[in-house]
Amino acid sequence: MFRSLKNYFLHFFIPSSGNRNTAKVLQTDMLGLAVAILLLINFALKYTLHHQNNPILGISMHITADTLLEDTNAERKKYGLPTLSYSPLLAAAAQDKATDMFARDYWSHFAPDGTSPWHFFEKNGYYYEYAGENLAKDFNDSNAIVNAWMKSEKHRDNILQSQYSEVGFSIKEGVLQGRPTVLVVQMFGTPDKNYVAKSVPQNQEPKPESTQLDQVQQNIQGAVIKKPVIDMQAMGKRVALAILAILVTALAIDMYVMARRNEQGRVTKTYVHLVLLAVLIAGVLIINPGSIL
Amino acid sequence: MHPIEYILLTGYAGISFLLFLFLDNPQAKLILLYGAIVYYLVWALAHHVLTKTLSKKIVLEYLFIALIAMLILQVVFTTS
Repeated sequence: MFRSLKNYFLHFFIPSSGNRNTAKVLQTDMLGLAVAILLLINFALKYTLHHQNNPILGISMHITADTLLEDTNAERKKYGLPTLSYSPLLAAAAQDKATDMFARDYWSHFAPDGTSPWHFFEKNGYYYEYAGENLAKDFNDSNAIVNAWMKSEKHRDNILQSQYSEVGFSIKEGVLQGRPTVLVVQMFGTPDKNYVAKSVPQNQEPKPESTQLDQVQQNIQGAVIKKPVIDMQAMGKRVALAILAILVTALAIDMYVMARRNEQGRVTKTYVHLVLLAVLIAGVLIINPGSIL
Repeated sequence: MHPIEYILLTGYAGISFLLFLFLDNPQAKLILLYGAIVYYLVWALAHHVLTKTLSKKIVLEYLFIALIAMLILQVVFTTS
């Protein structure tokens, strides 16, 4: 059993007389098979994304307020900070901000007419002692958003601000600056209880909280897509990266063996392939389709 | 391989990598990577023409690897 596995490995990865001096993995029939598999994955991804409940974007989303809250609090815990509690008022403010960004087509903390983020806090009856806002767009994974924020000093400062006690999120789809976009607004705050007490007029009934909560729940539910039984995206990505890893391994072995045999022509060819794949690996590692603000 | 050919290939890869680090626009990053694939094909064909080693099998090999790179990029970009 072990011997047969070893033979398979040698046949697939080590150039020898048994595989016409080219590792089986690097022979054109196997490369063609890899192309066919990747074409199938791409086709399957396009098909599943097209049939998902995401008609505007044509991409899938794994962003939920729950996971954003979880990830944000996990980062705070790492630094020994108290966790933030979810505020429906902040979520409503974030939802208003996202709606405004789509309606007035801007990607900024401030609207074109100078409207500040604080306007949305106050509009939703959230009077604060401290407040902050993080924005993200074009991501389709909660974890990637929080990671991107943590890599940016200003956004990280917001997440790790010890004075904040509450947070709210909005995840909204729309068309921004001519492109289908998923906007994520994260609003932080610490309520100013004194100000709230003074600001509610005596003759005015406060808004029933349940109505606002219902609205927020609807907004969040609208942005959450249930995970399918088979996560085509995760599986597709894993297979694609496995093919890349196999190819790089085979090429590296081929280059080593051919260099030892002093076959300069083959070394050059393999080197060229490896340079391309190195650029690709760097791209895959660094690529981040989303932006933060 | 002539040193200039090495410089042209490795230099392009290095410049692509540096640009990649500094570009903010994800679309520009993707275009840069597709550009690297096209450059790889052009470089390879030119090299084999110059060294008179161009054959159908070699063209197929480069084409397949370029296609694999492009398709992996598409999968990763769609699923990131």
